[in-house]
Amino acid sequence: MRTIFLTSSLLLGLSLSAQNVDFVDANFYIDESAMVRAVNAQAANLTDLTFHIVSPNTPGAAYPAVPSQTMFLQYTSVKTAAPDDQRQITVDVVGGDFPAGVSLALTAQSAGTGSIGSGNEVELNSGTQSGILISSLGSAYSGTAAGQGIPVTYALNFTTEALDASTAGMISLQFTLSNN
Amino acid sequence: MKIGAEFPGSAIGWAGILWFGLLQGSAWSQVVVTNGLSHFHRGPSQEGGYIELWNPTQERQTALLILDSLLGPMRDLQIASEVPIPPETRVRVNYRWLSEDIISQGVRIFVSTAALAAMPEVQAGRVLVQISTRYAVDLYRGQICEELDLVWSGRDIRVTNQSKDFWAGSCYAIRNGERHGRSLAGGVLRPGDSRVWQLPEDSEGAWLENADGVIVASRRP
Repeated sequence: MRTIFLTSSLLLGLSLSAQNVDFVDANFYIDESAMVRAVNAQAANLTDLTFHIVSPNTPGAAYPAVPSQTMFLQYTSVKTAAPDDQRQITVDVVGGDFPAGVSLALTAQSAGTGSIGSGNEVELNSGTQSGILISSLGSAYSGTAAGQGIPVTYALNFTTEALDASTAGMISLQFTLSNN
Repeated sequence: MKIGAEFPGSAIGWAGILWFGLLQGSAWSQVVVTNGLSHFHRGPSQEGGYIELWNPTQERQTALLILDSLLGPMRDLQIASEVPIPPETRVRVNYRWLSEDIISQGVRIFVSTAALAAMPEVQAGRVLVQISTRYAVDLYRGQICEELDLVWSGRDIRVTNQSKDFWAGSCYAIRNGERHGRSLAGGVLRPGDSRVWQLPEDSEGAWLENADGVIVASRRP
């Protein structure tokens, strides 16, 4: 917690024209906040986002591409002095396995008011399990309304010949707000 | 809330469908860290500190704290692993360095909120990806060094900490012979760490200022 003291001597200059004034120290406490949550386009807490990879209509055709989907990371960040003066948001695969032939590209675009940092793209698959989505985030906030926040677009990448429907399961992704 | 991308008229039907789902329960981080994501302790005389957590919700939450090593042994830090937090309440989670070791140490504490929702059931032919959020609070104990090794390559400067202590600070651009603007990069360099930071085209050099205000400046060749 950062504490800023305005001493009586500083306040003295502001009160020269006043009479019979008691001097009072003013203390300001600023939380060094770190807050983040995932929401959908309507700014509701995201509970379920589903991609379906379905077979084509015509025998002989490749599986059609799956439309990308977007969620939002709403955040509030108030930095302090170095070394906690820049933050980042990373994504990690913390459980499960990707189905054979499937990878997931996450693209984040920095958004908000303040030092919003810069966004990156991360492709997660059975070999790459983590990446930095947002870097150099300082004191900033995203807003709480619909469409506000860091848009994170999920694009499912696959080729038909690499798919294996028997390898379905569960994957756990975790978004971490940390010091750079 | 479900967002689906379905393709009607499948020739093969559900048997040919591979579901790939992203499922997020109520496990988004309701618990908030309010005293920073990086704490420094200078030497053995300072035995511990605290992480301040705030539960801004109307519900009782449980914060989970998991340790990971940034440098050195994790066993030298004592901290609770599970902390119940009443609604709209702040709590201080105390930690304590257990040994008098003066060797530089670093521990990362992952702070998350225990999920209230039950684990989803995975159906055959379906892939569910759970999503959650967490915070990483870095705790360091040691001294802060003043010297760095710097190597230029175009606009990039490679910064290496070859001391046995930490370097913690920020990198700024130099213009008109003075520090200019906001921090371009920064953080903690553990002993042996090396980072490459890019300076703006119009900068004259790099101004590296550690947490004690000690400056290492270098003009771009």
